[in-house]
This record gives sequence, structure tokens and C-alpha cells, in this order.
Amino acid sequence: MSRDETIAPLTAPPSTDPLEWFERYGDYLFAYAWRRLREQSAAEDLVQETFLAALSTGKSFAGKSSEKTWLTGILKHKIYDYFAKNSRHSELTPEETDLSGYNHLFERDDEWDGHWNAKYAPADWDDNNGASPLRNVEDAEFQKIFSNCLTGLPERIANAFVMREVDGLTSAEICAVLTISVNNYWTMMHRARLHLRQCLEVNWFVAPKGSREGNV
Amino acid sequence: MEKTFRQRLKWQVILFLARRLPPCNVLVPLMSEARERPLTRREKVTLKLHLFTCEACRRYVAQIEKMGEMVKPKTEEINPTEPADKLSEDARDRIKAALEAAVQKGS
Repeated sequence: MSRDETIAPLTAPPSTDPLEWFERYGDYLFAYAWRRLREQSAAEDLVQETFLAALSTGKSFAGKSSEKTWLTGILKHKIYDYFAKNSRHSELTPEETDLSGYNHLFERDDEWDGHWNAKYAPADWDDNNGASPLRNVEDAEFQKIFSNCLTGLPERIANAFVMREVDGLTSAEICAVLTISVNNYWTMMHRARLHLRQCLEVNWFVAPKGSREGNV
Repeated sequence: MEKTFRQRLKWQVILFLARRLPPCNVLVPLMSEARERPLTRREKVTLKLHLFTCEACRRYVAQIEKMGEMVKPKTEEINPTEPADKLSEDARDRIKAALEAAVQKGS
């Protein structure tokens, strides 16, 4: 492959393009897909499809950073196609609408039933015995916990949250991908936030420093 | 002396409001919807008054916002440092083979 040995052609031979792209951006695209899909084999498949699609355009490798953006754009579309394929009905399933798993958060024995139970009420995230977790937000450790928390949700709801908060799509765009009504979308987001807030509080903000007992 | 009187008055107002407003479990969905759509005037007032009375819900609102910031990618760059973030050898070989096959077919 060393081009120094021969006179370098003006353009690289087209046949090596997809492999050069792959060497350079394969891991990046995989990490990008994995964070959004939480599923290794699906992420691998979409990365492969992305390079095949890039190859079919007939473009040549030029080593420019814009190629990364271009490839990421292709992958992004493939991810949303994948979300769309996994969202067959526009109605929410009973499993998706079932919020009974969260009732205990608001159950109290006193006259204030329906208000936060002190045991589960949001804790002060800034008062974390000096651990200040926000500093390390980019940590792989945070990504892992966030990913695990997402897995605790029905898949479509987790996907909706990823599109909304990770990728910053509008509600109209998300409803179009999942073919759901905006009311169903709001229901999904409420459940996602209720679940993820608690999951992150227990596993990220509080747990590393010990049990939650006595924290509320 | 005046301060304690004020504090007691504030507490009375909070109790008065809290007894008349819908409870947290009814209003928490609205706190999420406030990030998705403009609330009606009535919803806004209800929510504001409730948040005045309820520290837990004030935290909830702040935390769902903070959560959004935390999961947003800060830079375009992801550094695949963890093995879990990198393509496995198997996947690498498989994808390379698929690309080579596609190149062969194309040329």
C-alpha cells in the first residue's frame, strides 16, 4: 500500500476506498450506532450497510473530515429506518402504557397520598458527598449506566428518548419515524423521564458512594 | 420575630395551595410535556403554583432538564476507548469481506 515506492496516481484507485473509510471510521461509526441501539449485532449490521451504501455512491476516498460527517449522516438515516421497522403499530401496547410499576413513587399513608413518597422523591444531585458526577459525564462508565437504564424501558420508548434527547429531533420528526400520535409520544416521554431520572439517581448519582439509605 | 411570622404565613399559603391543587402524580406528566409543547395558560399557572409548594417537583423539573444535557453528545468525537465501543475482530473481518465482495462485483 505504500505509495512512496511508486509514483502516486493523481487519484487513489477507487477499489480501495471503502476499506480506507472502514479503517478510519469503522470504530467511530460503531460506537455511534451502539450508543443509540444498545445492541451489538444490530449496530454492526448498520455499520456494514453504511459502508456498502457509501460504496454504491461511487464517491472516492479523499481523506477529508467531511467524509466522516457524510458517513455519519448515512448511518443516522439507517438508525432511524431501523427504529421505524421496529415500530409496527401506531397504538401503544399494554406493556408500553402500563405505568403501574411507578405507582409506589407517589403512594403515601398520610393525607398527602399522590404526592412524592419521601423514600423515592428526587434527591439533591449536587449534594453527592463531593463526588460531583457531572464532571465525568463523558465517561464510558456513564454511557454504560445510561445504556442499562434505557434497556429497562420498552424498546420504542427508549428509542424515542434517544431521538429526542441524544439526537435532538423534533416531536414531529419522532412521531413520523415511529408512526405514532403526538399524544402517545408525550406519554412515552413522560414514562422515559420518570424511569431514567430514578435509574440515574440510584445508579449514577448515589450508588457509587454507597447505598441510598438515609439519603432522603 | 417578623421573620418567623412571615415563614409561618408562607407555610400556611403553601398548605392552602397544596390542598387545592392536583397532587404530584397528576402534575409530573405535565412537567415532561412542558419540554415538548407550549403549555396552556391554565396549565402554566397550576404548575407554577404547585412548584412553589413542592421541593421534590422542583428537583424533578431541574433533573429531567439536566438529564437532557447529560446525554447530549458534547462533541462530534467519540473516543472508542472501551472494548465494548470498538468493533470486534469478528465483525471487522465480516464487514471487510462484505466490502471486498461488493468492490469485486462493482469492478
